[in-house]
Amino acid sequence: MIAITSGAPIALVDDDDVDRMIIRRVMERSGADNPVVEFSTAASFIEYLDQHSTGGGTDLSIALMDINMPGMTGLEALTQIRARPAYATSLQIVMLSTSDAEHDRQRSIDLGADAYLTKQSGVSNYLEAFARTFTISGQVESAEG
Amino acid sequence: MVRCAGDIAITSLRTANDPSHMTPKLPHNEHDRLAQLHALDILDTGQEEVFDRITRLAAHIVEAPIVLISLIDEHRQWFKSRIGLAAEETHRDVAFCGYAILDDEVFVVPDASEDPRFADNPLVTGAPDIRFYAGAPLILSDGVRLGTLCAIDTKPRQLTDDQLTALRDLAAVVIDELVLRQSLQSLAETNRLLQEQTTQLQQTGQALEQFAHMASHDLRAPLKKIINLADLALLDAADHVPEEISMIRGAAVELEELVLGYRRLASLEHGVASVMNVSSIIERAVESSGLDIAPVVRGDATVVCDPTLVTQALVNLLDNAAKYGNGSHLAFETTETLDDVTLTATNTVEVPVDVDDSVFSPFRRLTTGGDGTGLGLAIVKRVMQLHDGSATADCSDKTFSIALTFPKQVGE
Repeated sequence: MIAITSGAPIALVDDDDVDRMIIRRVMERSGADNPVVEFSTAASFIEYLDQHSTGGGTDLSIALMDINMPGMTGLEALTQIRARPAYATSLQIVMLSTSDAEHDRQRSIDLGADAYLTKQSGVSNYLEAFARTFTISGQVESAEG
Repeated sequence: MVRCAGDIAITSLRTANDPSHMTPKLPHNEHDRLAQLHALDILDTGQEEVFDRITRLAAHIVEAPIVLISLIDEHRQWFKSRIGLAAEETHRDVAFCGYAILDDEVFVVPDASEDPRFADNPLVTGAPDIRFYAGAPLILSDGVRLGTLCAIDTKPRQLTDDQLTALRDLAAVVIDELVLRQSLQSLAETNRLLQEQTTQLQQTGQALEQFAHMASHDLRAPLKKIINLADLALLDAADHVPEEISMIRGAAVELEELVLGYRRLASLEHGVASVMNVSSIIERAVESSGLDIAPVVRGDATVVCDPTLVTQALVNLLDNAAKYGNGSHLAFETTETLDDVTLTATNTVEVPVDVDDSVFSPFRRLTTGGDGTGLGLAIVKRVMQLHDGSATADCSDKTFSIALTFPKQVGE
């Protein structure tokens, strides 16, 4: 299970704005009140991480990142992020994909993802998948760690 | 075409069309003969050791300076192998062999200068100064004479009986080699075609696989969006839901099932076979179908199969029973003969179904309306094909049945 810290921002990295909107709204419906920071390219997400890496990581609770993106793919981004000392272990990353192929799942885990989530068809399926993958844990203890 | 290298030069071919000398008549089957000769694909081919070996052997046995394997084409004689002669071909009019192919016996001219048929032949009056000629016809099994294995000398002479026999035998060897050569060529050609087709099939298979992948990913992604967006709209507008949104969602779900079904059909392949009880596969299928259905199960037997595939086939039958028939009347019966095991699924339907072979075709739907993809039975049939078995359908009155037959002898 991936623990989402209540109130901490969630990063959502997907080139598809409709998918970002769907996931954001399903997250809301699943009870996560976290603010969502959206990125439409993997490169812009990495740039954000690098800007916020001073002081040992970001205040992001988790990152949801699509695998299939033009330019830098999700898996390439995952490799680069895990290569940075600040994010080698600290940031929880959940890979998203339309594919339910086992090799995509395995590859994601091998490259350092904490979980793999198939994009669902139907909001009720999404809610079930989120319930299986995430728990929402207590409040952020203090605003600046 | 005149070449003056080698032991004896031919210098007088220019007179080939000179009507003053006699020319042989054409064989009665000339048309057929030429067709068979051309079919051998031997004319104007390069030197081949197997034929040169025969001419060398013949030259040695009959002790003649010139030995030829001569093939009589429409207007020329062409030499597949030659000893003691530089020319690769001569005009047919001057060819001794033109006479030799008129009969099955060895054609012998002891002294051409004394023979009215050849006395004024340019090959006799000039180089290579032919005096003696002995030609054993090259006879195909159907009697067609393609040419000769011939021995030529520049002085009058005779062959002994043994030499005549040897020439005849070697002519038969030439024919055997010609036929063998053709068989090998057509075998190679068949092989090449086969490989070409195999390559094409592989390419088609790859294209299909790519399409299946495309279908499963590229088509599903937008379908998922449509379904999710419809869901969100329905949840937001719980009180005044536009009916159209539900209908859009329904259509998208239907299309998604079709895409998934197509992918399953395209990607079915036989996995690891194991020995299973039919009854346990039925249990598995009922469980994984998620349907509230409890079929009657009669009889049992073991089959060698890929349990995942067979489970999938049975789930399709359960789905069909739930969708189109009366699921509570579904019965599975296993019977066994010496050669095979047959599992028959029987169900009652409200409207009798017209059953023919096409019920197993992809996209064939047995009922109008409904939400079936028309792929369920195609998948069942494909699964049985992968097991070297069969699937048949039957409908009498309101009883619809599908019989799945597994062979007991499983091919390696």
